[in-house]
This record gives sequence, C-alpha cells and structure tokens, in this order.
Amino acid sequence: MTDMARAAIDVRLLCGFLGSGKTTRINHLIAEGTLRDALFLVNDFGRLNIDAELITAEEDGIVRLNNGCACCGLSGDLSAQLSDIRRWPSPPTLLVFEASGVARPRPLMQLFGAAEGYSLGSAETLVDLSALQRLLHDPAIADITQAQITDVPRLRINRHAKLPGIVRERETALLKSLNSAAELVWDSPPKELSITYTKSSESAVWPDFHALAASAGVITSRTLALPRALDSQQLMALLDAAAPILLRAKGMLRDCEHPQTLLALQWTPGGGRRTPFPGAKQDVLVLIGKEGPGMDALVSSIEALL
Amino acid sequence: MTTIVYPARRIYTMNPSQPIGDCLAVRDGRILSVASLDEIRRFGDYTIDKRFIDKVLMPGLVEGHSHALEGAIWDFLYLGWFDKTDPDGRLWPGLREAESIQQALSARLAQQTSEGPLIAWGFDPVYFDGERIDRRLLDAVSRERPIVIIHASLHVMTVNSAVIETLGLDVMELDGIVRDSGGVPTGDLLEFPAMHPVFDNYGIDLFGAATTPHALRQYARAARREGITTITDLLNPMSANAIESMHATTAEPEYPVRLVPALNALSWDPEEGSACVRRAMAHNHDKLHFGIVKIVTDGAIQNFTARLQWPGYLEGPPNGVWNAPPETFHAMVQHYHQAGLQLHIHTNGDEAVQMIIEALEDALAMWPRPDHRHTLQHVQLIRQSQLHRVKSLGACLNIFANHIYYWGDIHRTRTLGFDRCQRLEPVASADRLGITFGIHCDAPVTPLSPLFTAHCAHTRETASGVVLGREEAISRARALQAITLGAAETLHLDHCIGSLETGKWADVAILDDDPMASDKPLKDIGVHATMLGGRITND
Ligand SMILES: [Zn+2]
Repeated sequence: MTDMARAAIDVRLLCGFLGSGKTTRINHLIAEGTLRDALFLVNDFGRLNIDAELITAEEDGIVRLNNGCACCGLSGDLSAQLSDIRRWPSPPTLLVFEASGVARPRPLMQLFGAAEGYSLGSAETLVDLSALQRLLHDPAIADITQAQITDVPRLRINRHAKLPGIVRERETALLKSLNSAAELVWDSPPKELSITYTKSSESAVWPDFHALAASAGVITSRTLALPRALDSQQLMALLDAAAPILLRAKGMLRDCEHPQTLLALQWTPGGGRRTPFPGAKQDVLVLIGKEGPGMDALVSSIEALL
Repeated sequence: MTTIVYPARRIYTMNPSQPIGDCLAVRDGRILSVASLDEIRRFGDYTIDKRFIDKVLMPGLVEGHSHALEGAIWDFLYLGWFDKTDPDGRLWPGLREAESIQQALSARLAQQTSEGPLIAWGFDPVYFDGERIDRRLLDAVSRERPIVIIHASLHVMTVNSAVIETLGLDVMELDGIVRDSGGVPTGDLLEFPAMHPVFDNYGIDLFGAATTPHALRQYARAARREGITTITDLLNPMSANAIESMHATTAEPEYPVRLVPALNALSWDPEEGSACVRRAMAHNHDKLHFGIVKIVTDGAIQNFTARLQWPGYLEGPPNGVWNAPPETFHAMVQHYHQAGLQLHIHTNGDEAVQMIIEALEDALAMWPRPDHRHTLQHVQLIRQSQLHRVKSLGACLNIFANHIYYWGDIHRTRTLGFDRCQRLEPVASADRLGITFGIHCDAPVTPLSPLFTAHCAHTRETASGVVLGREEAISRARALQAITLGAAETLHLDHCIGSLETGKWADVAILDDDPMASDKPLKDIGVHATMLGGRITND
C-alpha cells in the first residue's frame, strides 16, 4: 500500500505544564474507552499507570490495550518515531500526543499540520488553575507557560473547584486576556480512577489525621526498624492518609509479595515511589512530620502493618 | 601464562607512587609491573618485546564524553570549517569559502550512484560572516538532485530547490521554514518541526544509525587511532536492539576499545530506566560497561540554548531552553541517585549548573551516599562558588576543554563576553579545589582526540590564536592526567583503568614522542599504537 492510499492519522495534541493534568487526562481517555484504534504517545518522563486488566500485550515499548488502542513513550527522537508510526503495517487512525511540559504548542501544531501521514485534529492546553500564578511568575518557565496558553485554540481548565470564587474569576480573566479567542473547557473535578495502583484493601480504616493534626507540634523525625516485609501498597496509602501531619518519609523496606527485593521508598505529599534498590541495607523507615498524637498514631498504624 | 616485557624510552604511569618507569611487564592481560628488568625478573619467566623501545608509553586514553554518532556520521559528506580526520584515517580539510563547499558537493554528487539525497554535515554558519550558504548556492551545484546540509548544531539544515519542491515546503506553514522578503524559502530549516518532513521523506535517522554494529566498529577505529582504550557513548537509547548490537560488537575479540554507554534518561520513565540499566549491567563484560545514566538539562552556549544566569547572552535571545521542566530534573536526580546509579548530567550554562547542584543537595540530604561521583558534564560556565559546592557534594566534573579552541572566539565576541570567557571551562580552578575531573571532546561535535583536548586545556588557545583565561590553564602533566586517570575516575572505573599500575588492565597508549619532555605541542604528538588488555590493537 502506498502512503497516498492511507488516510492521514488524526492528531489530538495535549499540551500543558508539568502537573497540569495531562497524564490524568490520558488515563481518563483510556479508561473511558470511547476512543477506538488510538495510539497514545506520551512524553512527560513519567509513568502512565494503566489498569492491568486493559492491557493485552506489551512489546518493544508499546502497550496494547483490549479496546484496540495502544500506548507508547516518546523514545527521544520524535521525528524518527513519527516516521516509524505512519509506516506501521496497520497504523492507528488517531494519535493522542502528550507534549512535554516545556514544549511550545505552535511548532508542534505546525508539525502535525505539515507532516506527511498526519493531520492535526485538535490542540489543547491543560491548565491547572491553582498553579497558574506560580508558573507565570517563575522566571525559568514563565515564557513557556505563556506560549502554552496563547498558542492553542482550546484551554482545558482543571483544579478550579477548590479555589475561592474571586480567585477563580481573576485567573479566568487572566487566561482570557492572554488568549481571548480560546475556547475554555471546565473539567469536572477529576474522579478517582481505577488505573493507579490496585488497592489491596479498600476497607482499611486509618486514624483521622486531619483531626489529629489540630494538636500537632514541632517538626520531628521518627525512625522505625522494619523487621519484616509488609504490604507496601497499604503503607503508601497510609502515608497518603497521614499527609496532614507528615512532610516526608523515606526508607528501605521489603514488600510481602517480593520479600527478596529491597525497595527504596520515597514519599512526599505530592506522591510516593518505591524503587528496587540493590545491596544490603538496613530495612528502616524515616518519618519526618509534626510531633503529636498524629505521629504516634501513624507509627502504631505502621507497626500494625508488620 | 607468559609475561611479556616491553622496554620503552619512557613510561608515564599516572601512579603517584611510581610516576615513571622504563619497562612494562604484562601478564594475563593485566599490568604485572612497571620497573627495571632486574626487578621484573623476580616474577619468573618472561619474554622481551622490543618493538616499543624508542616509544613513550602512557595509560590508554579515556574519552569520558563522546558519542557513537561519530561512527555513523562519516557516511555523510563532511563540510566543517576545521580539518577533521574520519574513522578510516583520511583527513578532510576544513572548507572556508562557499566555493569550496560547492566543489565538495559537486565532487560527491558525481561519485554518488544512487538517486537518493546528498546528505552533508558539520557545516557551521557562525564562521561564514556575510556569505550565505543558501538554496541558490546549492542549486548551482544541482537543481535536480536533492541536497541536504545538516548544520553542526544539528538544529538547522539547509536544502536546495529539489528538496523544497519535492516536499512542497514552499506551501507548508511552519515557522521554522526561513523565507526571504518575498516569502520564498531560503533553504534554511530551523528546528525539528521544519526538518521533520526532510528526515521523514528521505528516511534519515542519524541517531538510529549510531547504534548499528557498523557505527560501533567505525567509532572504535576512530578512537583507537587516537590512543583511546576506553570510550563512552554518552547518550545511548538502550533499546533492546541497541543493547544487543553493543553486546555482540564489543564481544568481538578484535574490538579495540572498552565501551561505556549511558542511558538517555529523558527517553525513559525513571523506574523503567533504572530497571533497564540494572538488567543491562548483568551482561557487563571486560569491554562493555553499563551503569551510568545521562540527563541533558540545557542546550549549548554557541546555539544560545544553554541556560545562563544574569547577565545572559551578549546577543541573541535572553536565555536558553530547558529540555524538561526543572522539577522533572529534580525528580530524576532523586530517582537515579536513590536507585544507586551514577549520573552524568549535561549542564552547559551556570543556571543549569545551579539547578543541578540544588537537586544533588536534595538527593544527598535524603539519601547520603559516599563516593557517588555524579558528574556534571561540559560545565562550560560554572561560577567559583558553584565549584565549591561541587567539591563539597563530592561530585565530579567532565569539562569540555575543546570548546575553547573551537568556539572561544565566538564566546568572547558574541555569546558571553570577556569576563566569563576568562573562566570558560575553568579547569585549573577545579584542579586547585581538588575536584575530580576529566576533559572531553563530545565527538562528533569536535574531533575525537584526547591529546588535542589536553592541548586545549594546557594552552587555552582559540582558533584565532588568542589565549582565553590564562589563569585557568593547567600543566601538561595535569592535562595528561585528565585524559587518563581523571576521566576514568569520573566513570568510576579507576580501579581497573586510567593508570599503569599492578593489577589494572594492560591498556596502553604508545606515543612517538615524549609528551612531557618534548617541545612539541601535545596535539602534534603521534599515537603509534594502542594496547588493550595486553593485546596490541590495529586496524
Ligand atoms: Zn554530548
């Protein structure tokens, strides 16, 4: 089949700064299941946690989903990758392209408008309204943030629900002053998607750290020995629940599912990570947070996991 | 097994306890001894090989930052301003007039039998003041055959009318297509969106080509010729194919160098990236060493894309570009640091250096780790206060000394100005602070030749002959250390390479002249041969 005989791949371009919700948006599009024969090409140097039930195969860095869609990461050279994708034996009909957080939309829009085998269907920038001021005032990235707002025909706004009305109005006016022609789309608050980690025990009841935070004191650090493997998934959920009093946690531990593998754990209120870590180190967890009954409750809850 | 003893005019060992010697004894691929024959005799039987008796031996040279692209890019026509030698040893004279560029293109077109495009590389317009190498000039070479000139920066190309018409570039709406006042494309295509149609149509994939066995073999040949025994590929995709190709090629008995590839962290999810390096490390052997990770933060000063602190650039845009948001770099540093891997971080401008110093401080506060040797790469512009912080963090530097020669004049007059050029690539300051450092060439950006790199760090002469920052020049001895033991230390391989010391691999550079005693500039000292693991290598 010649290139001419093939219909161009329809491209949906998603732009936006780090933390603007692009990955959530893609997860949402995948989970929603309404797109058919789509390829999701992601480029935010982060992990896309796809529900294992959706995955049918995974090879050469391409994850195939049971609804006919596929996902892959950007492997460095976008030009070579775009050349490659359009020459696949059965190329996708739709490409959802997640641009990097520092990408300017205009050149990418032009690229997909001009590139053989592709046509630009839509382009939008995701805007975390609560972070807009910070981004526009950060000298290292202000110009890119601005370009991401001005270049596109559509702005998809999220994290606006918790903002006071007056702030929301001010930020909206700011967006309109930067790009008066843009269509504004208001995302409903993101739902909990079932495509992060599988929860092993949804019924676990943690202490009410919000209430306990009321009597929290100075910053302290606690070190816990972890003599046994534990359910690290539950531990992560517990740390998340303790966010009102917990600033940071780090440590080395073993999960009961793979007790021979030592995991480095790293947690901040923004999220946590567990990474296999070679070498013989002590199994230990360091908690940095606010002293008081909340910290005590956290320590005893962790001990209960062991 | 037999011991072979090589008497030599002189041996420089880089071993501080025993800096010079006159006989090198090799057994089982390792250094047995550097001593007089009377001392070596105590180890038992030996054979004397006098082939290097009038030569000078030093540790095999270590190139701590270059790219296997060097092995692939010579398949295209070289059009650079400076003389350059290809992996086959052929010298390509620099081209300094539009006319000589046209002649080179015509000659190549005449040889080229296929109908495919004529692709050239290495052209740097920064040296062509006033004279434009554009579409018209290329059309004079050929109106019908497609001609593509990829500039030295790899961010721009110039094409002729055949390309423009075939691809319909004149009617495409792309900011990167440069047009004259009448709206007609001049032939210059800026940045990847505008270059993509050309790459796509003619199937040009430079970085893909760099992972083939052919490229790896050519790369090693080029390295060996310059006395290199350990070389890096400092931005490797580490795809399954690339790993397989490196594995098979370096395992060939004749493969003449040790290869150290670095994972390109920006194309991997961090968790998958660290897992990939761990998996690859399981296949390490004597000539293939996985374990390092590369992060590219900013661009290059000569392209106005490095991130600079105040006062920024002399001309051009106010500041350069980040390759990912600074937060992403923080998270990556955290991740790979706590995963126990060694980072090599491209930081050209002082703003990029600052960001990475802070990221390293964060990571080390959370995860103290002795002797991590995370290495800042290039560090063309690094302030004295930043050097102090590098030292206290226990980080290393690999400094792009060749830059002084190739772009020093441009930096003084167009990008940085006088003061910052006095401490461009501040090698002597790093040395005075006791920071572990190497120096490098970043081939194919500049030629692969550690002795030339050492020459640059020693003389600090620009192409026009100006000395840029005399206070930052280092002695010949320190420069030679930086291209051997220093670079080996930044790769965490100094337990087995970098000096001629009992127990280390017998990796040796055999020189025609004495780099310490002769008046000859370091760059003019000939490499007679190399030895890898006791085996004398040749083409
Ligand atoms: Zn490089």
